[in-house]
Amino acid sequence: MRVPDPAEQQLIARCKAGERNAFDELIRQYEKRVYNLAYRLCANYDDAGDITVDTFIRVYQAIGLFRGDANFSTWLFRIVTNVYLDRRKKTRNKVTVSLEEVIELEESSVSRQVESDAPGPEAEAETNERNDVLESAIMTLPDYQRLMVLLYHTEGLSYEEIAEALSLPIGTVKSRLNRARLLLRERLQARRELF
Amino acid sequence: MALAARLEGVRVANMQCEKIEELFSAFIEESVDSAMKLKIDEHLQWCDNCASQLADLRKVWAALGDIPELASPVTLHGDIMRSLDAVIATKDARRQGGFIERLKAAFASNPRAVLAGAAALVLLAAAPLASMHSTEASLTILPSAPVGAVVTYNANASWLSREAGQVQVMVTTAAGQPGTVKVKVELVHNLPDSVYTPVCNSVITMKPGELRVVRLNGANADDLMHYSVLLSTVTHTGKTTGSKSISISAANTMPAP
Ligand SMILES: [Zn+2]
Repeated sequence: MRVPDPAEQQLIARCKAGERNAFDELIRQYEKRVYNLAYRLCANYDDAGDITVDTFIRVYQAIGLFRGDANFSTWLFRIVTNVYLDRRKKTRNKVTVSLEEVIELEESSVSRQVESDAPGPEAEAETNERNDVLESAIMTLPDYQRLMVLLYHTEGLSYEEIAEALSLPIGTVKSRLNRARLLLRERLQARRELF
Repeated sequence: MALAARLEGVRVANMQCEKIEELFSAFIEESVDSAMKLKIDEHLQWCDNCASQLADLRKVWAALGDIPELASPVTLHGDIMRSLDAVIATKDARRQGGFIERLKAAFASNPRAVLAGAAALVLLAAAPLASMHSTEASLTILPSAPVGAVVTYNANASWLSREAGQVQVMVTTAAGQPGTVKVKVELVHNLPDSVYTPVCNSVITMKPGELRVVRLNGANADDLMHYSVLLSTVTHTGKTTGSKSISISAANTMPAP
C-alpha cells in the first residue's frame, strides 16, 4: 500500500466539508487518468467523457463515505469501474469491439479536439504502430481482464489495490491477470515483429 | 508400445507446460520460490515453446508499461464542473426550498447539464441513517420538452419484513400526476467505502399514491441482514411527459430495523 499523501488527505477533507474549489482541484488532479481509463474501457470518446463526468458526480455524492485509510485512487478506480459496468449492463446488446473496428476508430479520431499541450493530430497520426496494435489488442480482452490489465499496467495499481478496487481475492486477481497477459501475447502473435 | 510411451511423454510435457504458463507472471516478477524457479528454469532449457512464449510475454509486458497517455478533450474539465454544479445547485435548492424554480432556471440555461445532474443526484445518499427505518427522497423528473414541466416525486420505502425481503413502497406526486411509475427496488452493498453495487432487484409498475409491497427476488437471508435497499430507477410514463419516458435514479437507503 502506498503512503497516503498529506496534501491529498487535506484536499479530501476539504471536499468532505463540501468545498467546491477543493472538488475542482481534486477533479483536475484525476480527470485525465479517469478519462484515459474510461476510454480504454469503452473505446469511444463520447462515452469516455460521460463516464468521466458520472464518475466525479458519484465521487461528490459518496466522498463522505470515503475513509482515509483506503487509497483514494483505488477508491476512485472502483467508482470508474462501477460506472462503466453499470453502463455496460444497459447496452449489453452491443457486441464487443473487434480488432478491426478499434483500428478504424483510431484512424477516424484525428479530428477530435485535443488539449494544446498534448500531441496534436499530426503527432497522433505518427503514434507508433506498436502502441496502436497493443491498445487494440487490449480492447479485445474480456471486460474484467481488460480492467485488470489497465489498472495494473497503465494505472500502476498493485495487486492488493486491484483486489480492493474490484472486491476480488488477490489470488484471483493474480491468476486472471496472468491469463490476460497470455491472451494478449497470443493475440499479438501475428504482429510480433513490432515488439 | 513405444508410441504409447512417447504420447504419454507428450501428455506429461503439455501438462507441465500448462502448469508453467500459469506461473509465467510470477516468474517474470520473481515472486516464485527458489525450488519452483529451478523447476521452471530446467523446463525452459528443453521446452522451446515455453521459452519463446515467455520471451514474447516479457516484451508485451514491457510494451504495456510504455502506453502513452491519451489527450483528453479540452472541454472535459468544464463538462465535469457544469454537471457537478447542477448537482450542487439541486442539493442546495432542496435544502433551502425553491427547488423547482431553481431547477427550472438551471434547466433553461443548460438542459443537458441539469439532466445529467438530476440523473446523478441519485446514486448515493448512501450514508446510513442510524435510527430511521424508512427515508424519503425527492425524485425529480425533467421532461425533454416542453421546458418547464417539472414533476417532483416523493418516494418512500420501509421494510415490511427484512427477513422475507419485503419492502413497502409508495411514490407520490404533489400534483397528483396521472399515469404510472415504474420503480426498481434494489438490494445494494452499503459497506463503508463501497459504492453502488446491486445484489438483486425487483421492478414494479404502480400508480402514484399507491402502497405496494415489493419482494426482493433472489436475496438470501444474509444479504438481507447486511445490505440496504435502494429505490433506484423511477420511470414515469404519464401524460405529463408525453410518450417519452425519462429514467432517473434516486438513492434511498435503509439501515437494519
Ligand atoms: Zn513447456
